[in-house]
Amino acid sequence: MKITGYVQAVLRDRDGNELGSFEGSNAIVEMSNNILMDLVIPNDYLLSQGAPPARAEATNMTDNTTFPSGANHIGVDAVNGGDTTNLSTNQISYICVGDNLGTLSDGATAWNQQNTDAPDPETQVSMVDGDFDITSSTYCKKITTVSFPTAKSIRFSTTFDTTEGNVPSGIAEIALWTAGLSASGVGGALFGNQPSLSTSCRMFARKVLANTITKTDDGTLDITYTLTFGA
Amino acid sequence: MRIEGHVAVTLRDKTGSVLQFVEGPNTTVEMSNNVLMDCLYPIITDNQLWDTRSPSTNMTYNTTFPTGARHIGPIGASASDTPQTFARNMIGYIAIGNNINSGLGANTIGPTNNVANQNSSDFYPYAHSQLVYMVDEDIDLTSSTYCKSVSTVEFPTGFPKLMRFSTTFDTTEGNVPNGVAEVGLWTLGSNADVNGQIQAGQPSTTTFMRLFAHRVLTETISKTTEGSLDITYTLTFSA
Repeated sequence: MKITGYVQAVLRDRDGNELGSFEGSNAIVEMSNNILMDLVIPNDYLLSQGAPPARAEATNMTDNTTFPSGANHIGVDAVNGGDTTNLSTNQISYICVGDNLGTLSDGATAWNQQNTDAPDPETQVSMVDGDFDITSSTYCKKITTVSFPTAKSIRFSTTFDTTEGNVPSGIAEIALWTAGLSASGVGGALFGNQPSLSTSCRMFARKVLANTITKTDDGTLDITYTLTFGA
Repeated sequence: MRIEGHVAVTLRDKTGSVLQFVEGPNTTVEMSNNVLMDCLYPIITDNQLWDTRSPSTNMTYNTTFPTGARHIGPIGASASDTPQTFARNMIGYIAIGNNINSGLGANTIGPTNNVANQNSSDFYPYAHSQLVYMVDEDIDLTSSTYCKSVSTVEFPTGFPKLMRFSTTFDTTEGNVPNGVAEVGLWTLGSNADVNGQIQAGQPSTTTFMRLFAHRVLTETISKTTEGSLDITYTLTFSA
């Protein structure tokens, strides 16, 4: 099975008229391995071995729980009847934007090339944007629509309204993020348009745009992120 | 990302000595697309409606096992039932069969397959990856002859992208008539309790169980009550 991503972003004015658009494909990041493994692992009652086993660290990931790293298993741990937050931890729930200016996930390499991707983009575990804040409406919006455009693809969509997504240096990167521990509504539903906390949020896929999108409070931005599964 | 499987089957006598060992790679089946999409689908609002997914080859919209083009994951209807529905798409069982079918049955329509060690695609009208069920026409996933819950899950040391599911069919289990020639990795379906947990052993129901990966063995393993069978099914995620 092969999983690939495809991003479309459409900038509109207040009347809904299209001002510009961008689209392109991308690979998903290494963290997606962990997310998928954590989704299909059965719970510890079945395993009778307590907490899920430790997982080796891949590039740029540690075993600690500090955002946004995560070689460790997170998600379903010790399920109980009311624990719907842990169950939805790994579902894709947010679309984030950034300016792609900052320090790479290795913590040392400064990156000041807005429309050029990092040398090893698949090892990024967060947005490059040094000011990125997943709890802020400037950078993150809950997915509002999910559809299956084909039998083998799933599409996540959202719209950054006029007051949202106005990244100071423009939008040059777009990414898919998991719910983390923000889901606490009935049945694991998400509260609010942004995560209430970044804990256990993980980046699943990320795309650097060839052209920066300058969004202000005079317009809105529609984003769709499509994942295609190739089994 | 690419996901690949690898199966290792070890037949042992009652003292634990190895009598036969068969291993080999395989691809995941198309149903795994649906399993993963349902895992990733967020619960955006309470009691939300789920988008319809197009059926692909050999899958329909109905709820009859083992089809499953439609979304069957967590429904977000209430706090009390979501642990059960969340668990539907977790991988929980390893099934075995003899890979022989007089007509590939009602579940997987196709011509006769009487070659235990040959992929069904040689007989089946579709590709092997489009199987949604074991080929063995006598298979009963609720029987210890054919199915066993995963007993161990590992992330092998030094391999951050591997996930390994293991189980052992004891002497009285897995004694498939005509021998073991196929191995499948299955999801839990509706076998989780209200807490999202399942008992070790066999499924009590086949409802919502889906085949994630399937491997035809190059050699048939003749297992009897004189021996046990260790099976490991490893998935490699390559993003």
